[in-house]
Amino acid sequence: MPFPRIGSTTMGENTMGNQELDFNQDLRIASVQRGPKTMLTVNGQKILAYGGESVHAALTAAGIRNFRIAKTGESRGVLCGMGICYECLVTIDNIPDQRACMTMVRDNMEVITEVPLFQKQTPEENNMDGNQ
Amino acid sequence: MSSASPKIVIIGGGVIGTSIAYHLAKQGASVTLIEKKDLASGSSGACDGLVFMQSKKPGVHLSLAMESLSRFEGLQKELPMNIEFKKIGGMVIIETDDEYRAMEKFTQEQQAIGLDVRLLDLHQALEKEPFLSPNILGATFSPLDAQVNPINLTLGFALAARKNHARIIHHADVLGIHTSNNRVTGVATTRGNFDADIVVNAAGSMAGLISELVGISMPVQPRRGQIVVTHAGKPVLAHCLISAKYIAAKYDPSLADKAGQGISMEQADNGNLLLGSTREFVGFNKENTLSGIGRIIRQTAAVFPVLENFQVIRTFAGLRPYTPDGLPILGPVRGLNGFFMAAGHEGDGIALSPATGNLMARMLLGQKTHTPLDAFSPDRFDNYGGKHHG
Repeated sequence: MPFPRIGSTTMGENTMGNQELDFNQDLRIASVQRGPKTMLTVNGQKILAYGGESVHAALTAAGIRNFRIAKTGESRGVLCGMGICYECLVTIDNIPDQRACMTMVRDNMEVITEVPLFQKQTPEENNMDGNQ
Repeated sequence: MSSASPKIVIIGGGVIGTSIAYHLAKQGASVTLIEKKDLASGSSGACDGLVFMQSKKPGVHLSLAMESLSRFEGLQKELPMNIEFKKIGGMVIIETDDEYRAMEKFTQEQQAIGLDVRLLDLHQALEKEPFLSPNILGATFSPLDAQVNPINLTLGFALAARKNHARIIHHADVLGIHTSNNRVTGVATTRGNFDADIVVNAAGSMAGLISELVGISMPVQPRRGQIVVTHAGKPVLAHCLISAKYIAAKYDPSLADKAGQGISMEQADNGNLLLGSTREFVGFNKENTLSGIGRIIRQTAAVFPVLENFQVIRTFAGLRPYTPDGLPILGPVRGLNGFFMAAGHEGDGIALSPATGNLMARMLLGQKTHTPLDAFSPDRFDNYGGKHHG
């Protein structure tokens, strides 16, 4: 069974972007003890994060894997996860080209990815902060 | 060319050697280029890509630069590589009153010969480059300044030369130059001997060592330039920049010690910022130093504060071929028939390579050169302490 490639058709209909996401999902390992809860804004959408997490970790836990668009037009996400490859660049608090893997989350941080996100539409959608 | 055409051997696979090879081969000459390591493995692969006009002194130096500039656009189409040539304009950043007065005089001399260069106040400078520090005093601007990818340029010259039947021999270390009756006859290398009627010394910072093989002393010295590379970011810099201190340091090494060595800055096609540089006499040592890198980062960040958001991903250093009068050495060496110099461009090798290659090719094939080359003649260093070849 081939390993599913980011951006390949095995990932869903959006071949070059993020598949439709449920921002309420949490892919974290439940048993790990975490820092205080906080919220990030990613392209205007609120997602959950915990103190001590990198932006990379928070985005990945929300299922967001494609961050930026390379010169070739292909989407890119985290490759090395340790600050070397510069594939995971996102705009953080209006500063472009910051490494998601090397930036720790802060309260009310605003993250912008070049690859758009598509919120999965469900009739009874509840926002994380419950008002809307 | 007839079979009686001279066999030409070029020593050095940097931007100068490959440009000469290309311009010769295009005319059908018999050319062999010998490179010790890989093409562009020396200074041509360890430099920035600035093609600055307004940093040149009016006179022969600027004429050579202008002729090169006019050739770059053609080369962009001619060469089988994308040389990423962009005529984006350049600015010289002025930080002190002394520099302002010096640059005022420098630009007046340039304007007098018709160079398109103007002095900008702070407001005008910030209009052109919004991320410049508001603490600078102003800048000079010329729309003529450009940038190019130096490695692609060198490889482009080499590939085009080979297409025109030039032979390129790499990883061949020159062991000696054969002579007979005070004439060159060939070059001995670790990859065999090559017959030659003409030998061109285009060995860059090592040109002095090559000349010594035939007992000729040429005052080319390695001068280290360190460069800092940042990650590839969004466009933040529309022009190429140097500081007024850079011009001072270039023409008066004593000023480099007093006022610092100046900086240069460009954003390459890929988005990486290249920050330079140092000018140091440390022999053939190509290492980076913490103090050199630290100074480059401090001084570039002072005039371009947005650098705080950039990460350094790499540093390197190259050895620029320095000559005492700041001009390259181009032409026949009086002491030995058939032995030509084409080295000593210091930090201008990339910018001057198109005209240098063309003029050297014409000179070697006995054609007229419309730019007079007397000022570049090796003869000017006759009394440098070299002994004539006996």
